[in-house]
Amino acid sequence: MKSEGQAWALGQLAEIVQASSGSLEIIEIVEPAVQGETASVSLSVDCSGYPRKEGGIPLKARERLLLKLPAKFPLELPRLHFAHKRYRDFSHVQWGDYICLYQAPDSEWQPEDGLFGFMQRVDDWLRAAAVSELDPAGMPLHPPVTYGVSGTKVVPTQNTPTPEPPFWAGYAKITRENENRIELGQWIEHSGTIPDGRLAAVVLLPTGMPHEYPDTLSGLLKELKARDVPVEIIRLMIQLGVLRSESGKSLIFVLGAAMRGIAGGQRLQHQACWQIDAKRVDEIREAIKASTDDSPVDIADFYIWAEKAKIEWCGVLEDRPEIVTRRDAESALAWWAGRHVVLFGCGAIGSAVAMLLARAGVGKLQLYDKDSVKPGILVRQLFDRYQIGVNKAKATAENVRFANPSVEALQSSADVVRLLENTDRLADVLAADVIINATASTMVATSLEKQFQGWPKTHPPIISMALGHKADQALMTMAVQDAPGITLDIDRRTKIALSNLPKAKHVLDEFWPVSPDRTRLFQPEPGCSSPTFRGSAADVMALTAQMTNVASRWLANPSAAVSRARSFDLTGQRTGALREFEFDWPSDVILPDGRNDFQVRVSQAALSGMRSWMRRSERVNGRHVETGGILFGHTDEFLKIIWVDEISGPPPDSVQSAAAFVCGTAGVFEMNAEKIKRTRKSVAFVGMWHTHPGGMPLPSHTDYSAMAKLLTGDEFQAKRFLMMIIGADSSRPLISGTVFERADYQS
Amino acid sequence: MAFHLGCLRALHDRGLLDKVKVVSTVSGGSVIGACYAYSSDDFTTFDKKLVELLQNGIQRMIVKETLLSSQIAKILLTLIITGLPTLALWCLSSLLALLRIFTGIPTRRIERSLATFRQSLPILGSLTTAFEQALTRLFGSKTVRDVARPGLHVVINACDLKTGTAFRFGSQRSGGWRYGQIDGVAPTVAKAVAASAAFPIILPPLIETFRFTKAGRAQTQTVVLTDGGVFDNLGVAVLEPGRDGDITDTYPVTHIISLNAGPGQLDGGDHPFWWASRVAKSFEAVHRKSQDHVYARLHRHVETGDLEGFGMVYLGQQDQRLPHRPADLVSRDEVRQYPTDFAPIPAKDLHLLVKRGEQLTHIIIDRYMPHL
Repeated sequence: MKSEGQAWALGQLAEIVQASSGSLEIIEIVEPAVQGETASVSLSVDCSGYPRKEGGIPLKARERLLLKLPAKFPLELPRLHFAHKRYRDFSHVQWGDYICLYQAPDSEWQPEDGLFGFMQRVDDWLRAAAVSELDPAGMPLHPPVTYGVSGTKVVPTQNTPTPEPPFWAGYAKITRENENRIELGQWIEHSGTIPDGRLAAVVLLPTGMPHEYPDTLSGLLKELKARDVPVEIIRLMIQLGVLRSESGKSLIFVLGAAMRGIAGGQRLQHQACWQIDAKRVDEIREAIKASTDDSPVDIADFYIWAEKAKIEWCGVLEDRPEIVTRRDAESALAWWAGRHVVLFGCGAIGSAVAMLLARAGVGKLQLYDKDSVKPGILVRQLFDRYQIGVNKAKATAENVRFANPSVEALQSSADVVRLLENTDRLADVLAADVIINATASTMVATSLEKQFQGWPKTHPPIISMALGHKADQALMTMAVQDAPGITLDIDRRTKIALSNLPKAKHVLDEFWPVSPDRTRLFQPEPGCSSPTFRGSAADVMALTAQMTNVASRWLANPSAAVSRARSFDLTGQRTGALREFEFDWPSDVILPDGRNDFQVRVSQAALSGMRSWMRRSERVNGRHVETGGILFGHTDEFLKIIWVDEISGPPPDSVQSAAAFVCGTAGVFEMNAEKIKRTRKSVAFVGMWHTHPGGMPLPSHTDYSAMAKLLTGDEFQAKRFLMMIIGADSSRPLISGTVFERADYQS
Repeated sequence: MAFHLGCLRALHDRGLLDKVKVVSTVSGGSVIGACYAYSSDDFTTFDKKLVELLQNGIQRMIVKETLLSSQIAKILLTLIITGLPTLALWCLSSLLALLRIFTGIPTRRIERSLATFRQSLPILGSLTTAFEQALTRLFGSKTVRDVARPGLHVVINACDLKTGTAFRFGSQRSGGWRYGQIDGVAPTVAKAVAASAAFPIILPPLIETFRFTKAGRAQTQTVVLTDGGVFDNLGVAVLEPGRDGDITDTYPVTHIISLNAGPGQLDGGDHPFWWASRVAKSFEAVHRKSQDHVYARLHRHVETGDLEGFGMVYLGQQDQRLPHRPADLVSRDEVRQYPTDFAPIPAKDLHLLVKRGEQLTHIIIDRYMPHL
């Protein structure tokens, strides 16, 4: 009762035989008696034409092969065996005669090729086997096989010691275990100090083992003896291991052999693990206890057991760094491995970032959040229902440890604003490699700005991440030590940069809305909850993952004096212009104001503008005539910062001479109105600039008089006035900034 | 040119002129571009010489070259031995064509032979060769490779009317993709500028024979060169991202600043009915559309991140669409009608054109490339 697949395969086989001109012969076909059974085909293959090399399988001139065609062919692979077990010691031959043709059948096997593809693979295999090229140089070796019968999985996590001949004997600490797996930690040589806790017995060989491991203890002892490992050592290792096991627990015996690695390269330890069941462990323990010097019953017990014992090999799930190449090794997130990260806010973004970093192998994670897990956030934040009511930082730390126990996860429910004011706790934060601010809090942003306002400043890169009100856009900034400003400052720069790009209106509208419909906030529990954004776990994860990737790239390619910002867009528009924007800014010129203690941050663009007007004046009016113009920016009275973002040259009605620059007013009102409108009130008139050609940039008597007149009169309405003076010349300008307050003149 | 001078002044004041890596010029812009690139004068001297040139006008130089040199003899000889026979042959071809149409007599082969013969008649001189001669007074025997500004590349764009493709004279290489690169001694700056600025409505094309190498094979070809603006009115093709450097010239740049002295939108007052006016307007319409496309593409390159910045400094820019208007802005209406005919320029017009160029350059860079 052939299945349709089997009939197809046999038809193909007949075609291959016919075309092979005698190279392939069918000796016998045994069709399945009932539907669903395997069809067997005995084949004779001419191997005389394959080149030979020492170390290769010594194929006979004709080899008899047994092909087993499953009923579900081609959705199930055929199996191929030698008709004998003469080649059992060769790798890629398993269970004595099974030919291992495919390493990854899911990707290598093409069902549509049917038996044509299969027989082509057989031809390739035999050709490679005859010249010992089944493990070509530079490719991973086929590992030896143990036919596991135990359901227990052993997970070695640390690189093994390199055994010196004839062997290395000792223990591996069992660090974690449950019904699924036993994890092995530190390796301890038998002569070393043995720590507390459960141990596995270990023997590591500097040589190889047969490709198929024995399945009886007597067979294993025989192989080990042949490799100069005395049976007594095995007994002692097992007995010591037993004594370090609790009653009712099994014992793991680890046997390492130098059979892993790349063909032609260094051989690393391949590990096979044998689980001695709890009952036998207890029996061994009893025998040890009953043993005396005169009556060593434990020895007799071991040998009697060894005569007949079967070996239960366990599955080994490798986690040794020397064996496992991290799957994320070449990804952007590889940057975080071993880093120390401070994370402010463990909400939608923070809880997701923490988990991404945990999986990326971050070294230390300091988590801060003052809130606790509420039921409503479970739809999009990475917490579980049982964590409701737990502080978010604590719950995140718990999740991080769960995902990757090697991360040092510290948590605090402290308020970030207060924390930044505490010198000791601030020092803790500053010790990090990077600070991530995922609070989306203007209080935290202002607090960070205040904390790092001084110049020069000292802090690791500070990355801030925020989501839009529908979680379909995000904004990320990075502040660095050698450029002024943290979140608040860079957000402001981003806003101005976006306002200069007509295509970026959607980002501007999202994060700096002016539309009245955006003033109504989303409160998930009306009246009782903080306003938040609308969005799903998928939205949050998608944007957070993108932000984390980009942040990784920024951090991997640092530019000390450049702050950055980037917008992200998931609004689903796949046509038209690029909807995401990235900006960077070189450091400003920082001017301390000696009069009212402001800090003046002059953008490079503004400075470049002033220099160009100076050069123009030098070209047109000569080197001695003063020039100047208007300063546009913003003043933060709390932080005492004045930003100068844009400037103008001299208004056309200005009076320029070698003695003074009297700034005109023609067009200034319109210019100011345009800037306020375009930047949504972020850039407006803040003062004026003028030059002192060839002189020092200090306010002259004329300047002081002008200020007194301006700030005591009614024509000028503002509370303060920034006067910037540029001395020397355009090629080597000397700059000062002085803030004059109206109040100074009224007292 | 006066508008361009204003733009260069602003770029100089902003410290950007020295940072320019590639000057790619077209048409009238090739004259000022070459004046800058092939002179090592400091900016003040360059500025002064250019003002003098503008005030004297190149037109006079062309007239002088035409009348007071061997050019007049060459032009007359060309008219006699090529112009008149061409006219006669054209008439004959037309008669044969009519005959063929009405009688069916197979004259097509004869017509083709006449056309081939007509095209082989020699061109000894023209207004454009006189123009080239006049430019030789400005640039001497300098070749396009002799750029005087360190690190600057120059591309002077012309168009070959035989193949309808770009033909570029460059400080690195000269030629066109249909012909290959010009071998041997590089062409002179005067020839390159004359070809690039030979506006076809006014000036005949420059006919030149060069030896080219293409794909390892050498060949001699005659090209018919006209104003580069016919093919690429902004001269930015070589700077655009995404071009295949194996096929054509490419100069990867981060920012493009386009200085365009075009008058902008048509005012819609004309009624181009007769042949000359309708052809001229049609040419202008195609030209304008092609220019709009290029601008749109360059803006798009910035939006997609292929280009870091693009600034369009455009004499004919609608003032109300400027990011802002300074109180003393020289308006579009004050300057847009000024002809680009190389005539001597009055001081008032010079002042206005230069000032508008300077003002617009500052406005555009302030807004779109403030960090440059």
